[in-house]
Formats: sequence, C-alpha cells, structure tokens
Amino acid sequence: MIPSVLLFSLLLERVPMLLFSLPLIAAASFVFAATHHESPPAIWGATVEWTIWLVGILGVVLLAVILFGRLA
Amino acid sequence: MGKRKERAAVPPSSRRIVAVSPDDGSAIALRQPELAAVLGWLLPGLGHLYQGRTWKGAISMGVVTTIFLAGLWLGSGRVVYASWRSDDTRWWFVPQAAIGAAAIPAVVQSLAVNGRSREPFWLSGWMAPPLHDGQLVSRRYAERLVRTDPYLEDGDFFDRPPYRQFRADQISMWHHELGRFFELGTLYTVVAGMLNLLLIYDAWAGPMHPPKDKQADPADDGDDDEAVADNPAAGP
Repeated sequence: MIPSVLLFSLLLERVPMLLFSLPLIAAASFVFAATHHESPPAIWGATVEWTIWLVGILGVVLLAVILFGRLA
Repeated sequence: MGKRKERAAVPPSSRRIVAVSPDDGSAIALRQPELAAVLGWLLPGLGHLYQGRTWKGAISMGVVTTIFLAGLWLGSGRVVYASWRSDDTRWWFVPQAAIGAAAIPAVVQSLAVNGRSREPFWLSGWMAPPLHDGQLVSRRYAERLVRTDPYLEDGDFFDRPPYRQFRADQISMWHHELGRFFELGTLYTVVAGMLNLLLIYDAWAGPMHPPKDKQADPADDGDDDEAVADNPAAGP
C-alpha cells in the first residue's frame, strides 16, 4: 500500500502545473459564468460549460506543447 | 424619443439604475453602480452584497479571496509586493492590486522601506519588497531579518551609521528558497486580481450576457427598454 502522501508528492513532482491549474480553472469558470448570468442554477450550469471549454482549450495547448517538445 | 425626454426630466437622485437578468429578464437593482464598483474593488463581492445580490456576492467573495490567499500561502507571503526599481519592477503587482484592500499593505510597506525610516511599517516584513544590493535599512530591521530569516546572516550587512547596508540579493534568495512556488503564488494572486476586475464590472454594469429575448430576436429594432437604457454600461 503506497502512502497517500507519497502518491501526492509523486503527482506534484510529475505534473505540478497540471495539478495547480485546476483550482484556477474552476475559479475562472465560476467568475466567467457569474459575470454572464444572475440566477444560481444558470451560473452553475455555465460554470460547468466554461470548465469544459477551458480544460479543452488549455488541454489542446498542453498537447501541442508536448508534441512540439518531442519533435524538437 | 419621448421616453428619453421623460427620463431626462427625472432628477438623478431619484433614478433607479437597473440591469436586466439574462436568465429570466427580471430587473437587477444596481443601486449606485460606482459605489458598488469601489466596494467590489475594496473587498471582492462586497459590491454585490451592497446591491443585495447576496448569493453571487458571497460565493464570489469566497472564490476570489480563497485563490488570493492560496497564492499568498504558496509563496509564503512574499509574492505580493510593490517595487518600482529599474532592476526589479514588479509589474505583477498591477493585477494583484485589483484585489483591493488585501494588497494595500504592499504599498504601505514599499513606501516605508524606501522612506526616511528605512524599515517597513510592519517590521515582520509582510509584503515588504525584497532588499537589493546596496540598500540601506534601519539597524532594527537588519537585526530582525538576521534573527528570523535563515538565509541571512550578520555579514550580509555593512555598518553605515545610522543605517546598515545590505550586500546581497534577497529576491534570488527567495527564488532559491521557494522554487516553483514563487511563480505559482504569483500566478494565483495575479489571477485572483484579474478575476476581481470582472466582478467589479459585473457590480458596476450587471451581467454581460444579453437578455434572452435579445438573443432570440435578431430583427430587434434596437429600441431599448427602460432598464437597459439606464444601465451605466449601455452607453449613449
């Protein structure tokens, strides 16, 4: 059984920016949604939509960086 | 046209400034939008609370403040500082300052360190700019730094009565000590400030999304209703 602290440390070491970007993406999604809607259900719905968009866009950028990094 | 003339006759003090909810078309009372924007800058979400938009204000306050505090924690409280030296111009402080009251201590500390006393207002050094090579500091501050910062020792300061002169580069020490967390803390606090700018706009002008009837009716003749015309962001 691997201690969870060790597992967390390994994840932190391998993909630090990936891990730390998640709270920022969540916060940005909420604020983007909150500035476009007023009712709580609409804001939550838009937050999910924005999260998908941001993860998709940033994911494609990350993939492109990895791909070009390998090719270089 | 007639509608606009009637509105102009109403004294500004009795005008009710509202935005339209894009979700159900209901009116959102913006009260005094300029005051709401200032309050929103002072403390994220406070402008919304002032307008009675309690749910949005409370959640926004929680989200943005948490991100800012997380950034401060990641950067051990050193990533928010104001410095305008030519070799260390802290441009990141501009978006960080959008967080409002939480960034004001950085300005106070910067002015105090570069002032006559040569020491920060809060001696703990919280949000004080890093010392640079040749900088004069008060004896009291130098002694405190030597006592509390494991990276500094007494030999890092020359005697220049009545001051002491620093002879190293503290920003390099911070980078060495914090590693990637210096950048991460900076990123978090900068993003928190920029997100608060969006919230300030929302407090000032209401939601950015057009109302549903506007989206559904592209042939709209542009004759805004009362609420939209009174929106401060609606323009002339």
